[in-house]
Amino acid sequence: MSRSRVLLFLIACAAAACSSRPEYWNRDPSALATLGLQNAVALVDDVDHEVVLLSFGSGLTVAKRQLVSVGHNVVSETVSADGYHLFVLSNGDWPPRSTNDQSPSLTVVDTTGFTPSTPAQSTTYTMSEPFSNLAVDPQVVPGPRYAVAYQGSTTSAVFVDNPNELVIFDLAAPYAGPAAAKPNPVVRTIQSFGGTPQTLTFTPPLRVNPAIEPQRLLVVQTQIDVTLLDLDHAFDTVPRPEVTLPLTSATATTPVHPAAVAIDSFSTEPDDARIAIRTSNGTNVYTIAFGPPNPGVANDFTPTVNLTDVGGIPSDFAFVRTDAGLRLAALVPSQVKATLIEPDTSLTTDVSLTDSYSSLSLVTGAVASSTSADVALLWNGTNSASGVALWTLSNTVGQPYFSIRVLDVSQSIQTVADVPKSSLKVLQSNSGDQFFVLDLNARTVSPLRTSGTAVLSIAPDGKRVWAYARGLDQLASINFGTLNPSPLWTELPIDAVFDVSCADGSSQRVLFALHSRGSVGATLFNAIDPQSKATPPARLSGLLFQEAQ
Amino acid sequence: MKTWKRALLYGSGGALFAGAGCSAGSSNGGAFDSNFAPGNGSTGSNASVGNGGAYASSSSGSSASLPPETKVESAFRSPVATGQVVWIANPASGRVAYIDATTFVVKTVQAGNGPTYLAAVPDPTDDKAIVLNVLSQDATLLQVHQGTLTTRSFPSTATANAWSVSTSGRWAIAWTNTRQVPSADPTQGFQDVVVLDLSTGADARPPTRLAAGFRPVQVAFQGDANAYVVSQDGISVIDLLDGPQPALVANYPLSAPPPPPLLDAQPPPDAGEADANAMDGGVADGGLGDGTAPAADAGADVQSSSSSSSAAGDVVPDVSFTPDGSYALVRQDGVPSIAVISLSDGSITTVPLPALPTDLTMSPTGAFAVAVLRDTSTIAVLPVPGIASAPTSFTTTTIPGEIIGRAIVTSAGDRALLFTTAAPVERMTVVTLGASPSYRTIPLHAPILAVFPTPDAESAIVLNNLTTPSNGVEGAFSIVPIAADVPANIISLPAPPTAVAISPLGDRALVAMRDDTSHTYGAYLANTSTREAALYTLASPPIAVGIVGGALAGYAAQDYSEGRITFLDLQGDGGAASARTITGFELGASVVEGSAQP
Amino acid sequence: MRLSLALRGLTAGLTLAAGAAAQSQAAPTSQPMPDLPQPADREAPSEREPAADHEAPAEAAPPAAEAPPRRAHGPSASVAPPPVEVTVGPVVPEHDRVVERPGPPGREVVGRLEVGYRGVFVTNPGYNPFSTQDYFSGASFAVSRALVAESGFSFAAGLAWDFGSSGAMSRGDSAKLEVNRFMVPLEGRLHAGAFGYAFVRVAPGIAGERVEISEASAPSSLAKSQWLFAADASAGYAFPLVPVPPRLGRSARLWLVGDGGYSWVADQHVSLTSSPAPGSAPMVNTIDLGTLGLRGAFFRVSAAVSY
Repeated sequence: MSRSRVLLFLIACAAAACSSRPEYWNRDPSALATLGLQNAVALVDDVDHEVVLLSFGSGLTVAKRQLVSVGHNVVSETVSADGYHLFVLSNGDWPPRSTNDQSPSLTVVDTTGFTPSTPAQSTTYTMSEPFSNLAVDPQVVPGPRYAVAYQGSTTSAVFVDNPNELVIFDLAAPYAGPAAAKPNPVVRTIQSFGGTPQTLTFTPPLRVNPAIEPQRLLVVQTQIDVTLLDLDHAFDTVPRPEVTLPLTSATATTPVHPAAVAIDSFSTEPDDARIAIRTSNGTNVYTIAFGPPNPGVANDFTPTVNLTDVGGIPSDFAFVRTDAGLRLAALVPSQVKATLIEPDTSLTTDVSLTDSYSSLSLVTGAVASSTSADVALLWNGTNSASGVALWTLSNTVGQPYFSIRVLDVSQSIQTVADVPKSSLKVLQSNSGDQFFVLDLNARTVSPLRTSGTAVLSIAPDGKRVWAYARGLDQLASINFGTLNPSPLWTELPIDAVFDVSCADGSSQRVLFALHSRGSVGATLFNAIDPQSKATPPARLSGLLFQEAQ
Repeated sequence: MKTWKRALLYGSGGALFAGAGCSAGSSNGGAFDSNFAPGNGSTGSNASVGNGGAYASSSSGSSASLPPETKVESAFRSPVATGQVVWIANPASGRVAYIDATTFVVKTVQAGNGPTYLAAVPDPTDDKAIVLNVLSQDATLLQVHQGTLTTRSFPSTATANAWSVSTSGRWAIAWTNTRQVPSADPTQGFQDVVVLDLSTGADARPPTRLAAGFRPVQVAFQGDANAYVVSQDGISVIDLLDGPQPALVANYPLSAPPPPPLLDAQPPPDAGEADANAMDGGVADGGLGDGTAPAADAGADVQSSSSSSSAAGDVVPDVSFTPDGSYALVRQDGVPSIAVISLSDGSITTVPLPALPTDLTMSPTGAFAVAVLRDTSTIAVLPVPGIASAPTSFTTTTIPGEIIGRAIVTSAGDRALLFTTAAPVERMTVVTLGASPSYRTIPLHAPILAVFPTPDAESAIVLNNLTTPSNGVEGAFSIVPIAADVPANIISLPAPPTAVAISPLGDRALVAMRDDTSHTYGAYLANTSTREAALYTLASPPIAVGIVGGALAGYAAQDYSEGRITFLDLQGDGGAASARTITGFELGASVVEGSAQP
Repeated sequence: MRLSLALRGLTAGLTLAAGAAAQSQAAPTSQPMPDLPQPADREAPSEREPAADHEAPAEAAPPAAEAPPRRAHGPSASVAPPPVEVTVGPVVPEHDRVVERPGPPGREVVGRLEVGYRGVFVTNPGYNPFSTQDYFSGASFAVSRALVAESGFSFAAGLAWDFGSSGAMSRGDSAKLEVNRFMVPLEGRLHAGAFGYAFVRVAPGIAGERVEISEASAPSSLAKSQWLFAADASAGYAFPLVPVPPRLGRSARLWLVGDGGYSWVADQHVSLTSSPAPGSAPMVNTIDLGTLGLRGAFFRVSAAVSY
């Protein structure tokens, strides 16, 4: 070996000694999100640019662990309404400084067939620029069809960005680049009159034109107006233009800000497509009806706007079916009333309430009712003695729609959670140390007390509710059948719980109690029988401490 | 904000189109002026005069002590409708909204400053309307041609508040209806009128400002050749075509005979006593929709616009023009004669009558006029134009045992509806005119407030005057068969009626009601064939109803800050499915469809 | 490939050493070297030693007649005249020379004790959790004894214990690797007179690796221990530090030894789990860190004492 070779060898050794390991190891796996799916738990590890999918066996084991690569710099992650699709929106390496830098992307992970032998499927859609927010189609059957990325109110890190730009993904089609004949996703810039998209709402199929099939629309709320976008024609070579509906009259001095959208989705009958909008600072409720297109209109419909003053700022609203037909029910807490609006004529009927309820939800399907009218559950009032009330939207003698039954709940209710496949509701009090199980059929309200502020998680199968205190090591399973709390303990503080089905085809379910410590751990319980001796709890540790990919 | 309401209120201008036979077609059976609506403090006091409650006990006694008849049909106004479009002005925003009654699409167009008074302009193909901009003191002609709206501006006057438009649509006159001026100074004559040639041809005349007589109350056209302005000074004649621009060529006094002393037993004529006949046969400003007029006693060629009361307190005679424009017939309160004025030379022929006429109505055919002699329960039929040369050639027909103070001649001229609004008489008499007149008395079960015959003369809508509302009933109207001898159907209302509109075919009628105290608002859609009515509850106070013939829809314009109108399917049954409300015209017009992005 | 090359190098080294040893045994009688220093010449060693080798500086090396005979290190003194040494090639210094004793049969024990620092450049990805750099360091202890010495070559064998550890915060957890290696170094030396010697060394042995991670979500620390086959192959040089100046002859000496080569430890799959405390929920998953192969080029710097 010559002297020079020796020298080179020594230099190589020194270089090897000085080389550092991949950055993956140096970063804590703290910037992660944990999401529960129907049949799996997903840990989003932005450090390792992957999603760790875990499915479980009935023996409280990890049946399958799958790593799914996602884009760099995750900005948003969400689970579809059906619980089988995970969406991860990434900024990529932005701004790109080299050709190796990753573009922004959306990764969709489909866990529909996720079993120990069948991996979850993922699809990645590349975008030309990063977006901060993602709206996912809530359609459950056959699954989400669309997703839309938008900037929203988030300040972009991009030097120049277009906040009115939307990226629309057709989730039923694979990725196709901009140069493709039918690109997917497509980019749309909605017309702006000063507002930028803040909230996006997907409609169910609406029969906006009796002559054509029902259509899916995207309702885009900006700070000052609402825009309708035909999703079914968004991928046409020449897509249908959007329609913008202003909410502030030209003669008004104060602009109104849209707060929420309600959609009449009861049927797809002709002339039954309606959308309603309420604002955060106006007393008007806006209803949008649809008619056939006028000459020169590119869309398949022509929207017409109506507004109705309900006397106060409505806090919540919904389309309801009454004895007299479809109505828009708006709660006006400041007036301690609800107002029913006939959407075609703007006729209003005020219904005095017993309390200034500010929230409502329809519970018609869960309530045994002798009429075809809807039943709405009212809550979030100011009077603790009238926590919730059932409002039957049928006429009673002498008092139209004044069939209100206040349920004996000793506290004012903050939230009402649905129990799937059940006539039950879980009501959580404002104080947080008590919750109630409301049986809409029996009209019973069963209180359950907690020693501290409890976080509730209702099992997707509708059989039980899990209560735990975030940061503490106690939780309890309350079987809806018996309302018997089953106390459980973990060795580490609990940060979240997910009730997921087992992947081995059994009817068993597993409770995944997350411990956001270290590299993330969890305690697994038999969800159906948490006290079972046959399946004692099991621990999972270091779920993100794995070999670098 | 009352801007939309105000625009609707005045949109139809100062006169009611009463020419059923008018080629342009009339739009409105009229609408109750808001004078009738409780709490609606507009001009006039017709309702109070017409209630006649103090005379309820005299229905079977002598009619000599009765007050003057009230003629409130002119107060029934509607927004301007043309073809399928309803026009509504918004003075606050400076825009005019036009609503397609078939698609319910609302669009707005920028007019001048303070667009307030609208009138429809007849056009064989396009939807046209003209609006007075009271702040910028100009006028804007709005024309929708094949979906495209264009505007043209014209000068106006500082005080103009009414339109009169010729049947052809070529001429429009902006003038000041002094009956709409509540408190005028004695020196304010409001004599300026602006004559606008709306045509665009080479022979179009320039806009011309003229000074007519003192305090105009009525404007009428004789085809496209002449226009007449009725004022306290008489009838001012405007020659439209003979010169390079319209010119005021003559002024004829209204009467030759000096007015005799007022009868001691009669109270002074009320300002609202103006004769409804004065409105007959005219193209009322804003009255060019497809609805029909309640009465029809004007000729085909002469249209007039007037109002029924003089807010300034001046007594203006009741003037009716013959359709060919050759004569004007003048009735004055307390004068037992009719003056027949030849419009060619201004000569006056006095027709003495056996009693004081309480009403004068020109037949829509122009063949005769009917004067009602209430004191003798007699009507006098004056042949036209023969009466001008033979003042005694009229014939009389007595209706024994009935108090009749007013007459309305049906559109065909073969029947006259006789009734009184001065006494709580619950009957109406239908006289079949001809060589051997016959009559039939129809019991109505409630006193009469106003009568609106259908264009087909088969039926009439009668508003009943309830002097003592009770049991939740605040008003009533009756669907009265005229041709058939079947009972009338009286329909009680939870609120006083405020507006009436009748479809061009006469098969449907709209009656609006409004009670601000109980917040009871609604519109009845009456089927005159079956004499049934369906109620549509309205979300806000109705201020006018009308018919859009092209869309086979009725509409009820409402008092709502953002503007509101409810369209009713004329074939509907009162259900919600047959009603569609448009609220927020500005917003509705602001719906913007973006451009496609390939 | 690198391992095979290293083994090939090691084999070549051993072959060379064996050849050199055989040569050194035959040289004294068959191939006298005319330029070898004669006894008379040793009076002026400073003039010829640089040309011959570096083992005997003039000032440090005493005259042969005055130098104590090697037997002087033995249990009994000898009065016989000192033998005349005839060397061929490098001279095996006294301290590493295996000497026939006149007394009881046997050889004089020449041993050496080394204490050193050992660094390995590990590029295996499996090592990443345990170090922020690709470097594994440790202490090295060795004892050896020259077993054969002839004509400037010698062969020694011994026992060595290397101990090293590395730790790092990885993904927020503390990860630690401890390695104990027990080796049998086999060393061939080529002496350079009083200035030390060069050597090649192969050291088969076993390595005990213990991996431990302190994971906060685990019931206890996650650890795993495993014995693995290991081997080193290196070449180096030993330089005498004491006495100063270096001199031939048998005496206690202090050496500075440096060598470099390739270190190899068999792979192990690092899959960690923890044992729960009694009554606690068992951990049912493992933390799989992949395959750890602790191998790579290494160097060692030692201080050695021989006697």
